[in-house]
Amino acid sequence: MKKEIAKNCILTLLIFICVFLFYKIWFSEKLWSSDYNFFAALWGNSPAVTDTSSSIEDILQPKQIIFSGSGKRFISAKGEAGFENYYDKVKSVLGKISDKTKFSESAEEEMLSAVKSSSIIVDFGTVFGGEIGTYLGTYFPCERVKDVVISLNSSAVGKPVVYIRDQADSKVYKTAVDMPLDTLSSTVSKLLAENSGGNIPFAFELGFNKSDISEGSEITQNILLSSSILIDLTDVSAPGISLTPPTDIDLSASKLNTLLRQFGINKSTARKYIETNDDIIYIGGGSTLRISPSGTLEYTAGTEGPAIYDPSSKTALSSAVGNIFSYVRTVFRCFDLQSPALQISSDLVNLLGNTEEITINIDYYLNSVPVMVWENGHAITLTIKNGRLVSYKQQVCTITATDLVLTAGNMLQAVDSLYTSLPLEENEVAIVTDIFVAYSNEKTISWHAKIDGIGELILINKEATP
Amino acid sequence: MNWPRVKTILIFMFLVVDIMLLASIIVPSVGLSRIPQETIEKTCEVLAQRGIEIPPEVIPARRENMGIVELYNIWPESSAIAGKLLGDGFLADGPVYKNGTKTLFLGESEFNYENTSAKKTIAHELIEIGIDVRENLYEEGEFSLRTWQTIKGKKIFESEIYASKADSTINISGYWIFPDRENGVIINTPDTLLDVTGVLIDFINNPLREDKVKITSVEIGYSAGMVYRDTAHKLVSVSPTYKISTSTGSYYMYDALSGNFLYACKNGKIIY
Repeated sequence: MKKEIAKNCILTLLIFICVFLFYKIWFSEKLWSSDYNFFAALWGNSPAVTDTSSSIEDILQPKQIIFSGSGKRFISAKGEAGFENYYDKVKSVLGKISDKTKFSESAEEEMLSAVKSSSIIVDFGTVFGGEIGTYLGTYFPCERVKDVVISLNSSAVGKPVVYIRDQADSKVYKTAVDMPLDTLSSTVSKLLAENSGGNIPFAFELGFNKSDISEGSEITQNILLSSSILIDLTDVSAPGISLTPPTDIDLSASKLNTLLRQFGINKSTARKYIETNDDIIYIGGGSTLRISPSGTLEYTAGTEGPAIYDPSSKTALSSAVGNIFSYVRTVFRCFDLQSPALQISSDLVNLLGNTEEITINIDYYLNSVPVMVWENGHAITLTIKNGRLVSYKQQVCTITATDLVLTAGNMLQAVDSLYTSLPLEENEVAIVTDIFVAYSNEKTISWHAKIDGIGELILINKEATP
Repeated sequence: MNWPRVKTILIFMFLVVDIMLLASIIVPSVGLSRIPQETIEKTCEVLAQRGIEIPPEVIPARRENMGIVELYNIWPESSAIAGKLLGDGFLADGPVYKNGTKTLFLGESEFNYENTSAKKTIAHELIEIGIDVRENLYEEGEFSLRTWQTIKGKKIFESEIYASKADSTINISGYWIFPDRENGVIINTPDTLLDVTGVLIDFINNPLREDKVKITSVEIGYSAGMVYRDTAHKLVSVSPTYKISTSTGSYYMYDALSGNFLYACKNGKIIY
């Protein structure tokens, strides 16, 4: 009997050992890295997931849509109330165009004439490669596009006519869109009746795009404005802003892992340093990521940075834009901050097959006013070479409006001051391609101008008026 | 059914299964903890074909588990480090601090300490300023002592102190990371280091190496990366590193976790 009890004990022990050894073999292997937060991933709130919440179409939305008709104009900027609704109407027209649509060449005067009458102007704010059309559900028959004009005054055709200017060679293409004109015309008329604040002329309507203001005139001007610039004569005002950097730049393990992984740095092999000014530096694989308490995040790639797009792929533009915005938003998520409205402010052209270094700037916006308060103005600057990230600098902060009211005068005052600030020779001509108001610090809004061949220039600074 | 007989068979079966399972755990872990001798010999052959002589016994065969170590550093607080080394009541004159017979010069990353009336041994003087040689690696001469800062017995290659004594004057100089508080040393989760044989193969293509050279030692330790020794940091990370030394006196540092080349020292000059 005792022998049987001993046998039972031995058998039980052997079974336990067997189970234990199986457990040891199956679970001793590390299947994921120590910094992987299994539970966070399980419950779906892992910050390790790169932000791809916005579709390319959302990101590439135009900067503003301008409605014209009956001597009135109404501008709806991206991010403003009603913009999405207006953009849907634009898409209903542009969506009728495909790569099978036949375009014919048009005179520029015809397009400008269309702009003066009942029309919708879609302004992307910056120059994109023509392939942008693919991602907006339409087709642009040109190499570079900045704006599109939808004419609603084509009584001869009885359909809306779309004009597209190729920024590469200034040729204008047009096509009639197969859809009823009446509905769209009445929508625009109603919109203008309800919203228009008067007629805001384009530069070409006032002759600011030509050296001689009127035919035969002896007066010449050597600062010209691009024909598509709107001349708003009302004084511009905006609220003051307050910029708040992240409260803690020493990120938790999982967030840090997300951030470093985005920049191709392996957290488990990255060295961490804290400098005397409390900047935190991570170094891995020759790449450096520096985060300062002021919210500046700066990345410099080592031998090879992470891929942003494939220069040989036809989807280079969408990959580039999608990945760049994903980078920006992931950074904000890692710091538990809400991303402000973003807009690309650099031309994004010739990505396909381009192996040269390109610089891309992105600005934050508050109520349609760009916030350009940093060293080089832009909130985000990145350089890419051969489709790979070379450097990346982002100002991480939240932007809130304050009670201050800031003013910056009107556009003509800005253009006037340009005459004094530009060192032009007698016969030299400067062409202003864009002029806009932006925050130059928390208590100042200033007029900025982009000048062909010169770059960006601050024109007028107006101090805050409480 | 003859239960006693069934039990005996089951005991025998489970015994066999348990032995097999145990073997499957032990055998690979014994094998994995060391680089196979064949691999070491092959590595030596490949290196020899490229003009690099290396005796097989120089290559550390044991696979180590080490992690990055973060050290909170008192160095950026110059008055704090002066207080630690000289005691309270010191006088400051730029980078020079004095307290009685003790003088401290704080450079950008190195310090020089002198006590002109030292009554104790060098080791005791070092303990007094917070460097316990018994906890670190050291070489002692008749009137001198060289010590390297260590973490769990592994050198921080750049953290080195040289001390000498002449009459009653003790001079101590070098670089040392003084943790700014208790628990100021954080050892991250250890990982298995890359095989040194792979790093040695990578060394073949290092453009900085001499054409024909003999490797005299391959050490495993920690490195702060030379760039960051130049500036005082509140927090310094030291990473597991292979130090490959040659007969010409040069050495080459490789990150043992990523395999990245860190820097080299040739003819006394640091090259990145």
